[in-house]
Parts: sequence; C-alpha cells; structure tokens
Amino acid sequence: MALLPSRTKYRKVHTGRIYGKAQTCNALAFGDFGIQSLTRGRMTSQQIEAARVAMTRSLKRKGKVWIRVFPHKPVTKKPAETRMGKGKGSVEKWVAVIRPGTMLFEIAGCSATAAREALRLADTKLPFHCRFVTRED
Amino acid sequence: MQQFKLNIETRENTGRGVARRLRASGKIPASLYGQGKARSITVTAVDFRDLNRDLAGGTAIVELTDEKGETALSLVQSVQRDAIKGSVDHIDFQEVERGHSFNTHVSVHLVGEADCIGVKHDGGVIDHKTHQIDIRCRPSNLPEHVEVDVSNLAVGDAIHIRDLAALEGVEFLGEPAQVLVSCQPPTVATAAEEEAEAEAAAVAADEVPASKVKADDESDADEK
Repeated sequence: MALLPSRTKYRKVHTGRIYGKAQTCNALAFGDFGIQSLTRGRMTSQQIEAARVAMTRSLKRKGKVWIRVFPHKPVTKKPAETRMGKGKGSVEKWVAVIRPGTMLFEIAGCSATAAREALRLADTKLPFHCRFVTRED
Repeated sequence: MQQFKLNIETRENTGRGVARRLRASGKIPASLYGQGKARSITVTAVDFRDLNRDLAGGTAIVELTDEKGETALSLVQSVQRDAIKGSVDHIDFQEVERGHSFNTHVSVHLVGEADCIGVKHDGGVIDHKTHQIDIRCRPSNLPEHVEVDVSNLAVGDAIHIRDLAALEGVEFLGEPAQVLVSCQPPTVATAAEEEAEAEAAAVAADEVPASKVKADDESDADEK
C-alpha cells in the first residue's frame, strides 16, 4: 500500500523550493544501519514502497526496517491536452521533501553485509545519491 | 572514572560570521555553561577530534584548561555536526562540580548478542529500543556506558530499566518500565502476503504485474 496522509488541512499546496540541508532526521535514531540522502529532491510514495519491498525481500524478513520519511506533500497535475487556466489540477501523487542529509531508511537485526545489500537495492529505487551509514560512524 | 584534558580559549566575539571564520581556521566554536554562568569558548578541531576518538562514543569528564590556566570539569553535552560533511560545527560543554551530583545521559551497550537464546534457537530479532539512558551521579561515579547482557533473552522477553544491575553511586532516572532491549519473534510471510508484495513491487517499478501479462497473452491467443 502506498503511503498517503489520512487527513490534510488543505487539499493542494504550492510547489515550494527545497533549500538548505536537513537539520533534523539526519542521524540514525532507531536502527544500526541506514541510508542518508546526499542530494535534494522529492520522493514519491511509490518510490518509498518500492524501496521498502526491495529491502524486506533482500533481508528475507530477518531484520527490522524503519521508514524515516513520509509523503506529506500533494503534487497536482493537469490532464494531457488541457488548455491552461480553469484552476489548479487534481492531486496526482504524494511526495516527501528530501534535503541533503535526510535519513531515509534504517535497518537493525541483521549483519552489516545483509544491511548494506538491502539498502543498496533500496537505493536503486530512489532518485537521489545516497550513502550507507552505520552507528559506528 | 575516565578523565580527559582539553585546552580552550575564551571567545569574546560571537555570531555567524565569527563562527565561520573560526571553522575555516581549524577551530570549533563552543559554549561552556553550568554553575550559574555561561561563556563562549573555542576549541582546536584537531584536539577535539583526538578527544572524540579517545571517548569512542562513551561518556567521560573532560578537564578544560583556558589560556589563564584556570580549569573546569565538564561533560560533552552535545555536538552539532554537519549532516553531509560530518565536521563538527559547535560543541556544548556542561560544567560540573566535584562532589556534586548532576544529570547526564550514557549510552547503552549490548553484551552477548551472539549467544542470545532467542536469536540462536528461535530465530528472533534483537530490538535495541533505547540507545541512551538518563542517569544522575557524581563525577567520580560516572560510568563510561551501561552494559546490558542479552545472552539469556528469549523470544518475547524484554529488559527494562528496572532490570538493570545497580551501579555504585548511579541513579537511573528513566521510567522503570521503559524497555531497553527486547527479542522480537521472527516474521513469517504467508503465500498471499508474498504474492501481494510481488505485485506491489512490480507496480511500484512501473512494470506490468505477472498475472496481467499472462491474462493479456491468453486474450491474444483467443483472438487468434
């Protein structure tokens, strides 16, 4: 199931800009291994789900996975071949805003080798450059 | 009790520009507070890197010596780091007084993970829930870290703060029922769950699910 908020105050929001580095959620909080974004961008709920599935399948249900990001932001799109105007388009997807340094996923309860491979597979689903981090770092 | 030494310089100027120039010149802006007073100081980045390596994630008393030769016992309360570069941006030192109790937090280390009964025999997963706990003690009784033995932990069991062995002169401040570490049972996937996950993975990767491909092939064959 793709992630999306159960209830929001406003249906549509402005595009916004992604400034600065991650000031919070930039360190390991739950697990022993994780991946941290090195660039900025948006992560859709489909990408989060694809990464989660890749990790759980790689770990063969041995470890524990934490998803540290949530897609709070609605992104709208106008239908194809539509004239401009007539208001903002309808919500097409939900995205998480990612700044450099954001911890995306964390893993515990498995070996470093298994965690590295699972997070590498998750990284292939994401539109960011990420790095593998451990608690020893 | 481990005790380390670090040289500091008193800093008169404050602000973003001053802090940036200090970092560029190989120094780290820091604050020293406690005992009802606070002051801005500077630490050499190389000295702090060596201290951090010696601390190795543990908690210890650091004796700070300024340019006048005055000393102060302190704890490294917090370290602000750049999220990408990992370089230290700012350090908070909390001054403590010899013979007086103070509050701090120490890391929780697990011992005997490889011999854990739940993991070895039942395939459980150790869930380390609390990595740091709050304590109250005197400088002389400050432990480097708190060790928790998990070798006898079975699946479904948990170790709480109340289960910790008493340390001399150390009071654990957290909620007694707070879980430090537990052994979770292994998750077993049913065939239906696995199928649903495979389909979700295919959809997420913008691929056509295997079941649909098969159905399309069949319909093509029917048309022929």
